[in-house]
Amino acid sequence: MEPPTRGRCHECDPNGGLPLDDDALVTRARAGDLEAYDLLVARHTASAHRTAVLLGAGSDSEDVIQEAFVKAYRKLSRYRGESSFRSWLLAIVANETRNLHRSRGRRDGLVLRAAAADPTSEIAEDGAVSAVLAGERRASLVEALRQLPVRDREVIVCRFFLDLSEEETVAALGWPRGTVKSRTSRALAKLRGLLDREEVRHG
Amino acid sequence: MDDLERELRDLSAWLETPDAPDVTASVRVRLTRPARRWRPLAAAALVAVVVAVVPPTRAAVADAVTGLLRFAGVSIATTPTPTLPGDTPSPLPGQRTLALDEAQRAVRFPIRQPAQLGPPERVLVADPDATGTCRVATLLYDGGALRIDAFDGRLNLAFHKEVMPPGAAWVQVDGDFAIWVDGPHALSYVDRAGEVRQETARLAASTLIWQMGDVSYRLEGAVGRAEAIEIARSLR
Repeated sequence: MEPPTRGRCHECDPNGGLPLDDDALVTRARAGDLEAYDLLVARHTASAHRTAVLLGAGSDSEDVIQEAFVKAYRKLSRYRGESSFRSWLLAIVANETRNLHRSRGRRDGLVLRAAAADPTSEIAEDGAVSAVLAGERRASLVEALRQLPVRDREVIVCRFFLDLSEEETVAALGWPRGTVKSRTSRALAKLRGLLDREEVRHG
Repeated sequence: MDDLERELRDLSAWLETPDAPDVTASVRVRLTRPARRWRPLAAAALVAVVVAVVPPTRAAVADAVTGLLRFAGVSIATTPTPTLPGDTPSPLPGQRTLALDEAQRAVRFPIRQPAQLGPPERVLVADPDATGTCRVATLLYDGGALRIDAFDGRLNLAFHKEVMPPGAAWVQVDGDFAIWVDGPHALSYVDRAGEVRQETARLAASTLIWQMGDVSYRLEGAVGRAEAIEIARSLR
């Protein structure tokens, strides 16, 4: 999006002309520079929103990220820079999403794009068949994910859908590193089990 | 990385995640207010927040139920089925062309010009009261393709818009809140009695609505959001 005030360019370092990195913006925002914080919000809205949606906030995702950005600003003095600003922010988003689930008692599941089940007719026949198979496979994967316990799903979302590193997942979920490791492999094992059972059922 | 991990990464692209909303303005509004614990609906946040930011006499009031937003003498209704204006809209009541200095004498507020655009090609005033004082002044540029309507910001409603969702977006002009309506929408004049003058309804182009020193402005024309904001910032 456009910065609302183009004349005062906060995205650029006045001396170097290079875009400011997150740490520089955090330093300015901490000193009360709201325009610097606007830029951080704009820069991280997409991944914050995707995190909220994939963790099950559904139609409340906008509220969740708005709340998370407000809280992040108020807690900015406690951000020490051990992790990236992004994963520190995503931890707040994940936490807000959990609060939401607690208050409304449900979480929205993952939704596959309509395109997944609807390969376009222009694909050659062989391609169409394999596209249908791939689509079915994706649908059963999503189905299996839905059956996973919440914490298993959270770690899968962080590691594979949001593409966070192990370190970033530690920050985002607030678990010890060992837990992230073991939870990831356990979740993958459970998924494999669910998918095998699915295949047996379908022959 | 094994097959399942690869499959999961591949699946990521197929998961439905709606486009991210722009929350910059709404976050900023909440940060400029004292901390308070609440979890509002987005619309409810706008109500409380905007009222807090602008002086109450020209407060923007958003009605979460009807989707009606009032800001700077303009009401904006977001509806999937706007009333389509007729082919030949009437001009604003009592509208006439004047020279700039005459126009300035005909209205109670200062007429400011955008430095970005220079002097207007034509100046119109409209809706005079019994003493001849007009309510609206209009600056025309580009043969009328770009126009700036100015009206006393302390007055009640002067325009009514019907926009299709997503409708209007909050933007900023020099640190103050403004509204950007992207794309064509139905626009009608609201007269002194508060009546929507249906006969004036016309299809308006993208519009920026803002206030400066008690005067409300709407800039309408084939300009993008950033350009509109630049023009607004250049008012002198």
